[in-house]
Parts: sequence; structure tokens; C-alpha cells
Amino acid sequence: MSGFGNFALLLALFLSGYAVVIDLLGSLRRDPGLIKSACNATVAYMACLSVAMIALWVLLVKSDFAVIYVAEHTSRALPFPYKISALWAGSAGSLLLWLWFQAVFLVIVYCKSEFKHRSFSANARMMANLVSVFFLIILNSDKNPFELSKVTPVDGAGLNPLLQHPAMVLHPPILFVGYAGFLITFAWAFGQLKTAPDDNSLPLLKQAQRWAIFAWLFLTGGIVLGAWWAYEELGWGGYWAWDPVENSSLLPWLTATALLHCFRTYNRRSSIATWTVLLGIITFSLCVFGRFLTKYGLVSSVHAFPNPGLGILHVVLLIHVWVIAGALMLRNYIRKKNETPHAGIPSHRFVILNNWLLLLLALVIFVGTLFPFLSKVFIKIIESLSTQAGPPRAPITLAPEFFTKITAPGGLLLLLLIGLCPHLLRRGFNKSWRIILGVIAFAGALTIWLLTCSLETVRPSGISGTIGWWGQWLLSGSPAIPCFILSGFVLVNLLADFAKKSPRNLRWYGARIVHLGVAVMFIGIAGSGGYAMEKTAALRVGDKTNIAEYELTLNDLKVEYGRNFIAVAADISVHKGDKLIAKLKPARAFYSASRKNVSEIDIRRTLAGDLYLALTEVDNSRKLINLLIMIKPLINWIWIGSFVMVLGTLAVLLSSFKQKAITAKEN
Amino acid sequence: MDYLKWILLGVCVLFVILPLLTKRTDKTEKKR
Repeated sequence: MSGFGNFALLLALFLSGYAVVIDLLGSLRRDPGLIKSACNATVAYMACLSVAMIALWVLLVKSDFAVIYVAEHTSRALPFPYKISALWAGSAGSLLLWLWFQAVFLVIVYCKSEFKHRSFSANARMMANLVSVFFLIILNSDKNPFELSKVTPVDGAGLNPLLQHPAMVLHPPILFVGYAGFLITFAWAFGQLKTAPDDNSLPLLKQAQRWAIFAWLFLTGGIVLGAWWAYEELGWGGYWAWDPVENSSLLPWLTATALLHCFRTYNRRSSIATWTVLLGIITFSLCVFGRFLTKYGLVSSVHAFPNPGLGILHVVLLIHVWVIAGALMLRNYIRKKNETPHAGIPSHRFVILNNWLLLLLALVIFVGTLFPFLSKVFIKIIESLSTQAGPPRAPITLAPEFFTKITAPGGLLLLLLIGLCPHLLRRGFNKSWRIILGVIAFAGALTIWLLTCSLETVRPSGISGTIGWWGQWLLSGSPAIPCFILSGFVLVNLLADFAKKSPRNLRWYGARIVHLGVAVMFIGIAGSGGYAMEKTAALRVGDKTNIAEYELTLNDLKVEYGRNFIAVAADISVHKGDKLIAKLKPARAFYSASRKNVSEIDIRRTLAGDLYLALTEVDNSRKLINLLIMIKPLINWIWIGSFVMVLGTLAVLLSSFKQKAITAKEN
Repeated sequence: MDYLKWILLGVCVLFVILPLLTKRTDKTEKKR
């Protein structure tokens, strides 16, 4: 079976390469036969990837440990659902899954376009297949999931215990659907660059917009599931550590958010058209770069699989993409030099402001993530220039607090923009600028006053001292208070928008529900970040400890046996005053196959906040535990807000399909 | 498993080449 899977992967590589060349020839010679052949090659390559996926699944379920991938990610005792999800537990399998989604989406969108869009589809498909060729070269060489080991082990290493969680079963596929979905907008952007857009290309634009919404929906869902998994499974009490792997999914999310707003106000003669095309390419490029960043050891991450190999091909692919995009943009610029640009509509200004803000945030996170690598390069340059030999310098890694502080002002500005936009669109800029300035001044003054009150530093004298003091304020001030104020501002504005009698449809509701979700999520982020409490306690059976208004008692330690683990669970009762409010059972499990010790946390959830317990150490013979206790106020509003965002996006997507059906009926 | 490989290869090649053959037939028909 491994040989068959290997053959299917190799055939997929040849077919996608063939599709690239034949699509190029077909579009140059305007030959429908060649274009159809390339289209069929794309369908065949998708079929080959499906065969390879099924082959790998068969090997995983059969526990064929002769295959290295199977031996590294499964064991005989592993439950069946995790054997299935082991397909995306490793680097090779996850790349195969990503590629398969890409191929399926490509076939759905660009292999059945109507006759009049044939040339556009060929150009779009060619670029999408070029991406697949690079990925398939990596998959067929150093990341081959069907590679056989020289010695067949009796049992496999088993799936990493941290990945044995329902959220981790769903998180990677959902994220990959998002990444693969952005391939469609990426391909559309190239089709748009290559073929001069006209009124006939409107259905293609609408199609790309639908796919951008679809991909954004899944990317958002994937990121939130990942954050939820980190909170539930990793046992450190947080949900976002600004780890390179996490950042690599947030970067395309930020640019994709800007892309969605561009699609909403698209006009092919205004600057928004250039923004849309650029953001389409940037978003997918960031998806590819994120993979390179984390899987090839450029920067170290807690959940990456660093292995340099042919990873440099990701960079080669990105160079190809940007050289082609640059050449096409230059050509289009020269052609359109004498055309008068469209003045745009008022909302364009806000969309462009929103774009700059999101891009700036993405750039800051991008540089921060790459900082260890950049500092390593910088240190090497300094050392090579220096004549004196000194002690070796370690590369600089930025702490999570840096990212939080540096991105907080940008996040707050975005919140402000979300709050202002409904108001501006309702009354127009000219009629409402006094109100807007008043609101900004009030919110600003209140924020500065509250932050200054909470600041302990004495304000120094002199200009440099004053600048330094304001700099320190900007970085050290807790962003929780302004975040609450601005979230409230957004909620009030949205409610005012709902109350006003105006023509509305499902899209109108959907967009506002998404913004409502963002405001709710920000309340959760501010509450859990700004007012969290933490304590570590060493307890023997019968001991008590206090945190805030809670009293915790360790009643007993029990040993529990699972199918592939042994766990020691602590029985802890939580009292508030005299009243017993919860019985929690945090545990520490030992997985024999992978020989790993994992903390299984337990949480008392309320809308006001969570009481989070994790066992950091257990000594069952002496009945002694080390307990991490955390209080995370308002944290559940992050998940509620995310859910609301997903619901709103679903409504927007549904409205797009409804519109498509109406247009099809009219035609 | 070898026969499966040949079946997959055969089906894929046929599927890809078919439009090129069909196109040639169209041209011949037009000439006629």
C-alpha cells in the first residue's frame, strides 16, 4: 500500500507540472483543447492526492509500522479516531491534507468555469498549480509520508498526548481549509492581473469574494479552536503565547480581514482594486511563509517540527510568485497610466485606513516573530566586523508581553474604527465629524486619566523625560480599561444601528453580528489579560489553600487507568464562604507509548470567569501535589465572541449564495 | 499492488489526453 501511495504522489506531481505548462501554452495560443487537457490534469491530480490520502489512512488504521510516519504518530493502543487524525499529526501528513484541500477547491472553482471565462480560469489555475508543484516536490522528497524504515518496530511511538484532544482533531483540518481557500483568491488575483478585468468578470469577482469569506470563516474557526486547545490542554492557563506557529496563522488572518473589506467595496477603476489583488496575493504568501517559518527551523517554536530539508523551496516559490506578480503589475500600470482613476466612494477611505492598520499590525507581528532570526544575522555581521573576540552572543527572542504591548494600540484603534464606521455610514462624515471628534476626545481623555491614575512612575521633568514617560505609559499601561471603553462604544453604536429603520438584508445583519462578536471577544481578552490571578500551592491530602474568595481543599488522590494512559487525579473541593460550589479533578497522566507526562486540567466555568486548576507535579506515594491555580475573569466571552463572529460570517456567506441564486435566476 | 498503479496511470493519462484527441477530431470535421 505504501508503494501505491508513493506512486500516486509522484503521479500527482507530474500531472500538476503538466497542468502548469499546458495551461500556459493553452492561454498563449488560446487553444481550448489544451486548456481542457490542463483542466483534466488538475482533476486527475486531485484524484491522485485522494488515492494517496486513502492509502495513508489504510496504513495508519492497519498500524503498518514499516512506514516511518505511521510508527512515529500512532501506536497499537491508540483509539481509532486518533488513528484517523494522525494523518495530520505530522509535517508530511499535514502538507498532504493541505494540498488535497487546495486541489479539491481548485477543481470546484476553476475547472468548471464557463466558456467566456476560460482564459481567466487557465491563468488562475496555472498559478495555483505552480504552488502545488512546489509543495509536491517537498512531499515527494524530504517529507514523504510513505517512506519505509529499515527496521520495523513492534509498536509505534504513539500520537503526542497533547494532540489527543477533540479540538486538536478538528483544528488542523479547519485551519488548512482556510489556507487552501485563500489559494482561490490568490489564483483569482493572478487571473485579474493577467486578464484585463471588465464587466464580464464580475461573476468571477463575486466567486472570489465568496471563497474569501469561506476561507476567513474557517481560518477564524481554526485559530479559535487552537487557542481553546492551548487553554484546555497545555496546562499553563493561557490561550495565546505569541508562539511563531500561532503568529503564522494570525498573520494571514489579519491581511484576509483587510481583503474582505476590500471585496465589499470593490470597484475595478479605483485604488481598492489594486488593494484587493495585492491583499489576495499577500494573504496566501503569508500562509506559505508561515509554514516555512515554523516547519523548517528558521525560528524555534514549542509545536513546530524543525527539519531544514527542502524547506527553502517555500522561499523559491514565494520569489517566483512575487516576481510574476510584480511584472504583471508593472505592465498593467504602464497600460493604465493615462486612465483617469475613479474617485471612489466615501467608505473607501475607511477601508484603506483599515487596510493600513491591519497591515501595520501584521508587519509588527511578522518582524517580532522573525526577530530571533534577524538578531542572529545581525550578531553574525557584528561579530564578523569586530576584531576582538568576545563571548558568543545568543539570538534575542521577544517575550509574549512585547507582542501584547505593541499590538494593543493597533487593536484598540481597530475597535475605534469598528465603532465609528456604522455612525459615519449612517450620517455621513460631514454631518457627524463634531460628534466623532467629541467621542474620540472623551474616550481618549478618559483612557489617559484612568491609565495615569494607575501608573506608579513619577513623571520626570524635561522634554526627553516627558517623551520617555509617555513611551513608558504606552508600553506599560494596561490596555484593559480603554479596551472596555471602546468595546462599549462599539456595542452602543451597533445597537443604535440595529434600532434605526433602514433597508437591510442578511448580509447587513451578518456584518454587524461579526463586529458585535469582535467587541465581545475584546471584552474577554481585556478581562482575562488585565485582571487574571495566579497562585502555585504545594498541598498534602487534607490541606487547604485560598485564592480570591475561594477556598480549595485537597480531599484525595486517585489512580485512574485509561486505554493508553495511567493518571493520578486530585479530588479538590471548592468552597465560597461556607458553600460548596464545585468539585474539580485535575490530573496528571502518563502515556506509556510516547513516555510523556501530561497535565489534564479541570475548570469551573462561569460567565464571570474561570477557576483553572492544573497539576504541575504529583507524588502519589507521599500524597503530595503541586497545584497551579488561576482565576481568569471574563475569559469565556472570548469563546462566545468568536462563536458570534463565526455565526455572523455564516450569515454573510449564506447571503452571498442567495445573491448568486437570484442572479442566476435573472440570467 | 502493481496492477493498481497501472490502472491509476492509465486512467489519468487517458483522461488528460482525451481533450487533445477530441479537439483534433473537431478540426477534421470543420475541414470536411
